[in-house]
Amino acid sequence: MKPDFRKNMVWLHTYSGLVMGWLLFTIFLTGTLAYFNPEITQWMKPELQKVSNTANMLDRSLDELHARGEGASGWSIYLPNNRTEHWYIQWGEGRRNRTTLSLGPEVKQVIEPRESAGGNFFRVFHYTLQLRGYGGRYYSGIAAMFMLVAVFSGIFTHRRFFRDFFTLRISKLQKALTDFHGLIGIVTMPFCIMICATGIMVYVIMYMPFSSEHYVGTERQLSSVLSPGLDKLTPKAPNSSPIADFSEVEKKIEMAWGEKQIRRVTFEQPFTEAGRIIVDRIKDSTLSRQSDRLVFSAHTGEPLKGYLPASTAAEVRRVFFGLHEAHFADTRLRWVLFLLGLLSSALIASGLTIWLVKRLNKVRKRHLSHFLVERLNIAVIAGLPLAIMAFFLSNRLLPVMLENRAEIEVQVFLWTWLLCFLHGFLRPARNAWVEQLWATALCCFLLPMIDLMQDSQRLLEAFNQLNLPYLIFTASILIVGACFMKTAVWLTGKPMTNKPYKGSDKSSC
Amino acid sequence: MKHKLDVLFRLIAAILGGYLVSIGFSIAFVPVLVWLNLCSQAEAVMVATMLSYIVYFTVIIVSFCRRSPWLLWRDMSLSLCLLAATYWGMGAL
Repeated sequence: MKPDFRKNMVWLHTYSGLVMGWLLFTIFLTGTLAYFNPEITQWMKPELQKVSNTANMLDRSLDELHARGEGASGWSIYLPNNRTEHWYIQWGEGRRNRTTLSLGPEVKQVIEPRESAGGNFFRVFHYTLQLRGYGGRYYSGIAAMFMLVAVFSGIFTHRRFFRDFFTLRISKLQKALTDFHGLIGIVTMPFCIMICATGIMVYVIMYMPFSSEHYVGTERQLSSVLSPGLDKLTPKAPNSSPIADFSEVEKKIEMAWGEKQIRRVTFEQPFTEAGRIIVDRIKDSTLSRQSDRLVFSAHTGEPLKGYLPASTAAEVRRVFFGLHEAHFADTRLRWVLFLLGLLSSALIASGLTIWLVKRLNKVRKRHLSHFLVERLNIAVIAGLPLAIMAFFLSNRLLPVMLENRAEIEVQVFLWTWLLCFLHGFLRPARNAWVEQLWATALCCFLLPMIDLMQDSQRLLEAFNQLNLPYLIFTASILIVGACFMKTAVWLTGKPMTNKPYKGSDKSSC
Repeated sequence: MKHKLDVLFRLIAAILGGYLVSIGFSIAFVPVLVWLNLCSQAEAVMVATMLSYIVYFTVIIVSFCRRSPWLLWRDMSLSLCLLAATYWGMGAL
């Protein structure tokens, strides 16, 4: 390696991007979708009705819990808000063993939404990669660090900011890609740095446990020192009954926070005298991951001593976490973040393609690495959107009463992706690209049609009730489909390399 | 071949060496923060751990900029020694 700072940075940019590019693309694309987690869930569970204007939601939830959750050691009420229409209650023992019931707008009405992985799948997948027990969260942390290195070295690689920003040559594939890469690199740079830096902060003690282990103990011990919880309640035999009328407590909450600020109400040990109610505020007005909480007695409804404020260091980490999750963002800001996420995914995808196209233009004979990169590019850049579309399609096409439906949806996603890998390796490169892009476009167009054929009332109702998540989801899918179709058509007529295309793929296989 | 070995050394320095130095920093910086009366020990652990990412990042970048791997490893061992000295020195205070 020659002692030249810029050359080293170019090398670092090339290879840190290449090694982690596919993983990063996956994480960025699914993570971007996770910005609309509740909205996607809303679309994937069309049985959910508009409930957010219902009166007396807390009292109705309490009635149901009194009727069904007798003697349970925990109750929770999840209220709908401006992003989700899912109103549900839970009761049972501990965190795992719980029964869930979704409520509807009419009195005593119970809704049975279909079982579905929902938008939460994207949120969980983008950091666990479906490998939670096998170090998935470490891989995403490493990928985020690589991205930071790639962004930093990218600044020196594409150093002529203004020139790059105002150049766009679309006649040749390589030049178009390079200019595009430079342009969106500048636009998304602050976003990428923010999202990667906050991403590695989420599991900071898990990735760097040594200091904590040396001085304090495990991650849990450290966080209980930094942000102390409430005293632990000892489970006792039922000796008391929780309040049935929530209006008194609600008044106190409204005094403190104002109207429509409750996200969740949790009852801990409701049937003992020491039982308490913890009320969580919605996250719209805080940068932190942890919103405000109030504590009341479950037995009398009197206010109890609440949570102690967390220490500054813990609060800083929570704000990093909150910035990553962006619960504070209103609709407009959320769309900006979503588009920046999509652009960052495109940035990574174009970088991966440039690596290949640049080398294919120079070499006479292909190396194994060219082949591998080419195929992985197809399988990830074209295959992942196809797998996501298959996931959405399976949500509509699988029988509604199927057991373990949510898991099967995820299985469909993973198997489709595997098929994309195989397809990418078996077909000549350009055919594989074009076919997978067309397949994705087709799925995008099929999805609203299937939806309409299954239940034509859904769309009408969505128009009548102004169900924005549903309408915008459908419209976005159609637009995405058009984009994929356009790309497929554009790619059909473009030479992949500057050399004549004829037969070069087959000879290399 | 020489180029490949060079890259390999730098990679090891960046990934493993960087991790080692940042671990060292996350441990050695805690007594400094406590000694300066800036925060309690548990808080200092959190602060030092979060800041250690910056150390890691710097080591990665420096690993690919140094003229020769020898200079790089010299810097690496020097900074590890410095961190160890801080830690033991603070312990003795």
